[in-house]
Amino acid sequence: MIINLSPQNPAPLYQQIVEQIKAKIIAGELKTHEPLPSIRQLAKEVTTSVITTKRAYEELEREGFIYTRAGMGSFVSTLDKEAQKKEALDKLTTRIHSALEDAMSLGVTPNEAAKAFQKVLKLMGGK
Amino acid sequence: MCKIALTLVWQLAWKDLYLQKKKLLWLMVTAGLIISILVSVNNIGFLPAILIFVFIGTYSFTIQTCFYEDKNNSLSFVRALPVSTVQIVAGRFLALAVVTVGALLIGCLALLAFQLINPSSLNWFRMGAYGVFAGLANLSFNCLVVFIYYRWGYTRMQYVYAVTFMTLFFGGMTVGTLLPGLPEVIAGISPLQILASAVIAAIAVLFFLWNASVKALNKLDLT
Amino acid sequence: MEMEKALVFRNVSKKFPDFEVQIDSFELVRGSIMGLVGPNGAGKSTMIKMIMNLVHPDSGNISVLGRDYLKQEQQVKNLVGYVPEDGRIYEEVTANWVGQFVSHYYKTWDHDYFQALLQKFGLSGNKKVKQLSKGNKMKLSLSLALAHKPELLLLDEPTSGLDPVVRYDLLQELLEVIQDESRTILLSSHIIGDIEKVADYVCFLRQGKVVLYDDKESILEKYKRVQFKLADTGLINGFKDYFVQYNSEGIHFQGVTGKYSKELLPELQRRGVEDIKVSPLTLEEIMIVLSREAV
Repeated sequence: MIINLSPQNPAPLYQQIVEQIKAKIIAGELKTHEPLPSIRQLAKEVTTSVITTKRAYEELEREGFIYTRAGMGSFVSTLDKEAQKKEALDKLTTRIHSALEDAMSLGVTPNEAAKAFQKVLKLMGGK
Repeated sequence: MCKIALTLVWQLAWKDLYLQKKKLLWLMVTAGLIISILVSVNNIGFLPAILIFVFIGTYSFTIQTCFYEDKNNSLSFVRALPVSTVQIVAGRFLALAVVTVGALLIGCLALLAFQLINPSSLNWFRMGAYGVFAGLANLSFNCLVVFIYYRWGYTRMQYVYAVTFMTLFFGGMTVGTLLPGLPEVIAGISPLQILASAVIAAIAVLFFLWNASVKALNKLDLT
Repeated sequence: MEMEKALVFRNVSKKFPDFEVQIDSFELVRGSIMGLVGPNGAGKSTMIKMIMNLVHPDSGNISVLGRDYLKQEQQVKNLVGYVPEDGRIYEEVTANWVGQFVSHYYKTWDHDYFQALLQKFGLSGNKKVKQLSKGNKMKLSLSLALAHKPELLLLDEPTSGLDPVVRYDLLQELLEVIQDESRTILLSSHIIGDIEKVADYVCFLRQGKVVLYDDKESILEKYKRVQFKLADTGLINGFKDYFVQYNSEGIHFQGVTGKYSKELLPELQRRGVEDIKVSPLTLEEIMIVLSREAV
């Protein structure tokens, strides 16, 4: 499995793994019921510690992206559309949050920000 | 089980011998040369010459082995292996015994050769007893040096080394005159008595040194 | 229970003329990698040497893979692979000879694996040890330690003096070792980046004592840099308890906390601070903070 960990990324390593596996599942790169590498195998593949990959799998399992069978390993869950949508919305919120933070630190007012948001939506033509 | 333990001890001894193989060879050759010169020029007795050869040969081996072990820090390498301190000391003593026997054998060969060129009547049995006696005395001395090394470290062992060599250097000239008289002093003692007393004394001394060395090694912090 | 632990230290102490090591409690679970970190002279090496009984503790117990380090010394050494910090190998012989010599002492020695390791690390078995560079000696030492398939691998500063490529290979090899869940690794290093990469647990030593010991993810989660603005400079004393290190300039406060949790921010807000910014720290930054902390 190809996963790139960046030490420069402020997100913790396990979080980076979670995000990238989620992206692969959502993009259909990893199919439903497809087995994932073991936590030890994945740790070796991306040169990180077992505790990090273990934490990532726990997180993925908690969020319902994968399921684990004792003694057999972890597999991709059936994705329900609702969860996918919620995931996308969560991601959007975090992105808007950091974008707003940047803009407001340079003096953009909430009103101006809302206008900018509306403008982008309009440009996309309600797609 | 016992057989395996002995193999491991032999491996330790073999390692000491192998590590010094070139030096041992070099030493034997130069010592042989020096002694033949001594014999022919200085008219030193042949038997003392052989004893000196055995002594210098084994002693240099001991010093060299301890020197390299100290330099390479390889005592901690051996201690990290699954062998006991009892085996480690036994291995070292065994290596010394092998070198002593080797040096004595070379001495015997030289004596044989000397006899062939210059025939004279020799009491071979008595000679053999003296040989065993000299060998055991020599072995005990070297084991003592090794014990000092384990107990007080290489630097302090060197003092002993310096003192003995000084004695040997200054005393070297008189040895030639002293030793030939020795057989006459102990001529009254039968070879069998010499043998028995030498063996018993050596076993006692070696056992004591072995024990003391193991205790010293068990206490030694290899930082 | 104790069999699941690769290592247990109980009240172990050792006095030297110039310093003292005192490890009251330390455990390492099987199947994990633990990084031993701390400034020079903190006692990392001593701790590893005590496991090997190369340095003898004055008091206390050490249990290695469920066995007593002293009473079952031979057994322990059979199961442990030790890589000393300065590659203490006989200089005058070839790598193959050392391999041959060492192989007699382990029932589990795998000759093919040893040769494969030499090849993998680009070492020629016919070269004399003294002709090898510092890094290559370390690689030989590691190959010797790995070739008998130890259950516990002890590495004393294995990555120092190695170039980044070799360090990466070495870390990969360590991760390969723990693919087997019963095998455990303890490594000391002052290159904390390496430990941050592969270690599951981190133990931080300072002046012979364990000052921090936890799984790596928890450490990274608990230690954060927090910045905020105070409503009033007089409030500053109320916040000191939260931080292991801090500095302030007027109403601007910046500190490193070791107790970060979701509850911390509301608590700070209740105490009247604003503009709170939390940023993650690397393990290295955490170690530096802990090293500077007053004893």
